[in-house]
Amino acid sequence: MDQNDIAEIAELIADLDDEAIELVQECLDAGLDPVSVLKDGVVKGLEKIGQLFEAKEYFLAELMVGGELAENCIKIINPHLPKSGEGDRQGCVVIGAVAGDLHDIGYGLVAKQLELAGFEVHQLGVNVDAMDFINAAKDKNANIIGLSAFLVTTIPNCRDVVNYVRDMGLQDRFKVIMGGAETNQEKSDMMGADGWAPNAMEAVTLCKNIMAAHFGR
Amino acid sequence: MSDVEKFEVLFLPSGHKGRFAAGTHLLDAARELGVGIESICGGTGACAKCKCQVLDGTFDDEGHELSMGHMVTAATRHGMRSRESHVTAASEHEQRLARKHHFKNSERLSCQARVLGDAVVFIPEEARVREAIVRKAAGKPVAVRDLVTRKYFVTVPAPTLEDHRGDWERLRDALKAEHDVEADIDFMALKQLSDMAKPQRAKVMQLTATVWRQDPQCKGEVVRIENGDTSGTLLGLAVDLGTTTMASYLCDMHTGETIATESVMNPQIKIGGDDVMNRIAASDNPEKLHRMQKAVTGALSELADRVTQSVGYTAADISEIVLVANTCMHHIFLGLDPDSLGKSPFNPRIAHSVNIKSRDLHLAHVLPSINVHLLANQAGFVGADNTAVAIALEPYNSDELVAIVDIGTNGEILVGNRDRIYSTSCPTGPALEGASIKYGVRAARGAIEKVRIEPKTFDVRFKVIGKEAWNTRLEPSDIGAIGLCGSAIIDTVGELYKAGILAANGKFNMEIETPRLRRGEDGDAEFVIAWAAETAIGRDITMTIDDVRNVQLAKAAVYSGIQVLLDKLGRDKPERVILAGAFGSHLDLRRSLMLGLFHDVGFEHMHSVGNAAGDGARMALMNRAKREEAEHIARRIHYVELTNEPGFVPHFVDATLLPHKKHAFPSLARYGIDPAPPPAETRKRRRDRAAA
Repeated sequence: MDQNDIAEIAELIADLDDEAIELVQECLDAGLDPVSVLKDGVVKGLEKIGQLFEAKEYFLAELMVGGELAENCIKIINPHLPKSGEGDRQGCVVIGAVAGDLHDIGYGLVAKQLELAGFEVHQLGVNVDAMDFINAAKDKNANIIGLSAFLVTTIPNCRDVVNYVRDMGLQDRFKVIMGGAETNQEKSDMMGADGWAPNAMEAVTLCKNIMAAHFGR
Repeated sequence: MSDVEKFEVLFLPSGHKGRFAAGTHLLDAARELGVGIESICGGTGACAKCKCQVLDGTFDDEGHELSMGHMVTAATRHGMRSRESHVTAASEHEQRLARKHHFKNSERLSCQARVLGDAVVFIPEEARVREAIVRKAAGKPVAVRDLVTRKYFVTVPAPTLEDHRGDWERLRDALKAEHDVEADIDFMALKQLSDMAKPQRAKVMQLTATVWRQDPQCKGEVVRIENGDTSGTLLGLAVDLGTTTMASYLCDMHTGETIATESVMNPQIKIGGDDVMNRIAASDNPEKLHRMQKAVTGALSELADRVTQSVGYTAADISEIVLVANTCMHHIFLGLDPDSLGKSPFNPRIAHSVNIKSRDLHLAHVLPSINVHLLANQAGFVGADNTAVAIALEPYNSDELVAIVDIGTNGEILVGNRDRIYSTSCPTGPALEGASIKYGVRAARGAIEKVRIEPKTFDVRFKVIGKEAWNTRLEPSDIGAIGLCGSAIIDTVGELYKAGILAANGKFNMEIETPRLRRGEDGDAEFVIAWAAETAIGRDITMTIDDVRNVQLAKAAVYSGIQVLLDKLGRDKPERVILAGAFGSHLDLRRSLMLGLFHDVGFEHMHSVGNAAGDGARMALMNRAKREEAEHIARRIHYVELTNEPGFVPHFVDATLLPHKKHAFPSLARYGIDPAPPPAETRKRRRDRAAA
């Protein structure tokens, strides 16, 4: 077993082939570096799925299946990883749907992709009050607050969260991002958010950029 | 800043011109002048349909560009100098949209560009509003059983010194004596009575009283008095107030027949945007809410006037109005703030039926005294229009498990039988109506409405609205296609899947060789339906991968909506599928099944029934029992909020596949489509690692 097998894991995941799980187990049994199995195998596979999604080859169903597959692989790898993995953490995100909004498909996908990309993610659920976002962000010591708003009628509620962050002088501690079917960059700017992304894949890039620009990661 | 600078804006080719404050959106300016620009998203910068071009040059009043020669003449004083820079520059968002939709260099979105100076604005062919084909035809006559509003011919005895009862009391007593009807009188009808009694002083009067009686146990109310016997004419108006279209049916309440119909576009679109959510958002502004209410009550008055005039009556002959609408339209019609409908928990202001006097709604033309009855709403997203569908189709009297789907911008679904009925509203989005589809248009002249693709040759046949023949029998220059309307969008995805051009996951199979399948300028896969020469817009009409994705999302919403309700009932499949609604009645059921819009219950168990909401409204107009049934059933139907159901997401994702990830579609076998659900998407292609 060698690096080629790890590359094969990435291929299998990108092909949504659940033999990836067995191969992960075999690689670990053979004593290959679990960090490499994770990074060059599973995470690489997810990146490929992301690319296929971007290229419009894959759609929601593939994203979902791929996410589950990767999750199952990570479950096997986790116990083998060195414990002091804090340094590898990309950052911490609290995420949920704003007050009045019950849509959980979109932000659920974003949460999943962020988790797979190495973020610590706390899902707050739907219909979350502005203050609850702030409290959760403080509680979890988050870097980023993710707001999901799927309706034109609930988009204005994003502004409440942004205002709280500003009024409480927390704007250096927490960056607020938003997304959802009816949102766009302009509406996000109007709400005063620090960032916007059109889909789960770009949300990962957005969070990474924010971590680099504001939190020195 | 009361002195905002104003500039001249001239629209071409219509030639409308006006002065507008700096900062006015071109789309708003156009609407103010009555220039029709297509906009499906309501000016939110989402649909990219409201294209325009700000011209560079100096123009005369009619928009003719002035040559250098003209310029030096005195006429140049009236010349209008228009520059591209006389409107605000395109934002990044607009530029992105422009790239995505392949705008020509100088083309702009009229909902984004704001006036900064004098401007001559050209609206290209595809962005001009055409007269929409209003597809809300009336159905069969309604059985009349128990009228709520009736006319009674009475002979009112002359007053004498011995019998000095008032005119009204003599009429009231005559009604009771001759017809056993007890009633009070509306103030306006009392005025009519006094006007009639004056010239007939102290004589026997022969009158016809129109009596509205809400509750048979209680007194009625006289709403109109006419001289002589007019009891042969009893007219009522049924109204289906949709988010986009408002349709009216003038009914003879004795025979149950519809004697005339008239429709208009819902005028609120100009004020509050094109969909329910935008209307709710607009209602946040009380002034806008008031304007939207006035617009729609005004439109109803006009409709009442037109529909009666068209058959030689007047609006004053209407004795009662029954109106059905979705909950949001219902609330705005009554001037109730629909705010609560836009946010969880989405409760309506009122669910029960409403009886309100025409005068309280400030309706014109119709009598101020007549009753306007609004059917009961079920919930925030399932309104009186769906209740009307229910009383028209009576799933509560069915032994079979029926699924009734009413597709609009929001799909409304009823699933059940005599034991139990669930309803829900599913977010189909505007894709099936043509918005968010690159070449999507409303059903109007020139819109492609049917599409067929030959499985072997991949040749395309299509039919446009307004032409009898299919494109293959017309000269290309005679076709004039402008885009794809909803039924064609469904046809195209169904046919592409049948022909193997689309895989089950919605991906184009690029290995198929045909010039129609290609990559567009942005590198995205697309399929050509009409070549530029066959169009009026001068470019190929295609269906792109993004369009297919949008259709997948829309159809998955409907399918998974049905599925969630089936889960509640513990059933796998409905026994019958009924497509209701104007849109549904124009869909091709077979193509709808090919893409998996609903469950395969066998073609013989699928129907479309036309505008069932309008049918239900007419039934309620002429039958007290139907109103009672509506009130009762609206409370009995269990509303399910999809986004609150844990099963919804997995069902939704499964239903994004064509036709479905897990469910079999045996009826499609005859079209060469594998009836079994596609195999799990894992491809066992693990390489031979031993060799490595």
